[in-house]
Amino acid sequence: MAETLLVVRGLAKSFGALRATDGIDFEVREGETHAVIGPNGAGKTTFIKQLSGELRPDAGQVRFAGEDITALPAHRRSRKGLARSFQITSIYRDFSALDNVALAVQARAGHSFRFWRPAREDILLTQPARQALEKVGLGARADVLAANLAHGEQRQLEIALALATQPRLMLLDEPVAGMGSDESQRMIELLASLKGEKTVVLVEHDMDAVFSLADRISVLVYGRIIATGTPAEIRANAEVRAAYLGEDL
Amino acid sequence: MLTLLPPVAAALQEPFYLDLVRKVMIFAIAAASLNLILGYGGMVSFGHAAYLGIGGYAVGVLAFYGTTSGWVQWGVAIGASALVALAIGAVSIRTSGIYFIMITLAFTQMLYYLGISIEEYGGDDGMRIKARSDFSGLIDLGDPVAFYYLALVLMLACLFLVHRIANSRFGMVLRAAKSNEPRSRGIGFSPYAYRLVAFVIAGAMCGLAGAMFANHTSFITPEFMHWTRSGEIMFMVILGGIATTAGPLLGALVLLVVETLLAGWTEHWQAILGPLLVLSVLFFRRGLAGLMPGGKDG
Repeated sequence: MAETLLVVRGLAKSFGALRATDGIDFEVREGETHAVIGPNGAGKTTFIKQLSGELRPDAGQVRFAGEDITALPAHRRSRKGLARSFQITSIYRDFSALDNVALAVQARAGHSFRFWRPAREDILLTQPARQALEKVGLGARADVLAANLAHGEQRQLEIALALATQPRLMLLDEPVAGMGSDESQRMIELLASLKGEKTVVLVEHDMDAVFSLADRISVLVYGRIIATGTPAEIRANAEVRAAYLGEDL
Repeated sequence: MLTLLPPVAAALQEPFYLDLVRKVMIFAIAAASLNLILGYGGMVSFGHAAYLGIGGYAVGVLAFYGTTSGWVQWGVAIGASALVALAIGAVSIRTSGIYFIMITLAFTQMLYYLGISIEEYGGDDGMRIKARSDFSGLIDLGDPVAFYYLALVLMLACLFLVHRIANSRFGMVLRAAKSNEPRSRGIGFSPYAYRLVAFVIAGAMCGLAGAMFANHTSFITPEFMHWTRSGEIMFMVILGGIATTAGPLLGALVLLVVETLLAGWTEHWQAILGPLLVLSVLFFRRGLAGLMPGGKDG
């Protein structure tokens, strides 16, 4: 069995009386695509924010590559190789696509207290950035202002941003959300092309995406994980079916 | 064009223009420094005149105690401004939005009232500086033409420096944090240190402008640090076009020339300038630099 990259134990976070995450135990193996699904309000976003470091848990522990990262803020986790894409597209809208990704490359290239050489002419930044854009299918759109990209392209750009930080684990928060069927098909193909190369935690509502991409699925309901298993196991799980109120999985 | 002004002004026997343009160039340096943090960094400092004052007082106070060496005076002006910017920035940059505006304003008001309260240096009457900064005979600031060219060279150097910084790796991090801070944290940047360093560079550069301004007027007064002065510098940046290389110069030029023209015409010039400023913000959203071909640079 592959090595376990991310281990979460007893993760809890409350907002007043609401227990958004209520003692989550969760593991991600190196190399797998692990989907997290659950009905609306199950605490998925709260959960992923605690993984990325945007929210501090009330209790519990997050271990990444053997190291306790529970107390680390988001930018430090990112430096350790935990990249995150946002549910609502988060890019530098007033930068070109290439500048967006070059900045993510720069984040990986040590400190940025370099004041003189133009960053845009720095091949150490632009070359890996172009590669990441090619990878997500935006190679021809490098010089377009991010704000002027189509919605689907912006989502692809966000994946490129995450890729460019050379992460060991990518947290993808609903990458297919709000996409037309063509766009979402392209995104699913892109994510499929990452399988085996990257370890991915995929939070997603789109069941087509989840069942075609995931190696394993965890089901989050009312802040707890009620089941983890292969897509086939999850499909057959009675408790999961009940949680989804008989919806077809 | 600016290099040709001194001989032309001499031929026309209008030294006043030399004086005006020198002031424009000094303020272009102040505006360029503010542009670094406001235009590129998104830090709306409403207290940038503080460094104009510190630079000016460094020259004036040292001259008061008999130190007329320009190297020392201007060095202290830059160094002291950088230190004060470090202290103010370390506190202010933890806040954002309206709180940042208010806290930078508050710090500058403290310095303004400090200037008023120290009777030894003239209090609110200000203090005359007897001799201009002395650069070991290399440049004679008493010579208007020499001072003019020095201001020109320093201004071009400062505009170029801000341009280089803004497009360097450092500048890209600064601009990214302005554009989308959560995204920056998401890819691994904590903006605080970058913002603070930019704030210190801007303070130091504006301190230089203050030292020059004190030599320009041969006089220092707490008015250097008055909040309207901060507003004036900020307006130059916005009028000229935020986050553009030449914007600070264009903004300083237009604002000071219009100010001078109106002041020569009526004593109620501020009543006319105010609406003009409002209209220019409404109609030149991207500033004067945005109107020029190739002026809309990053």
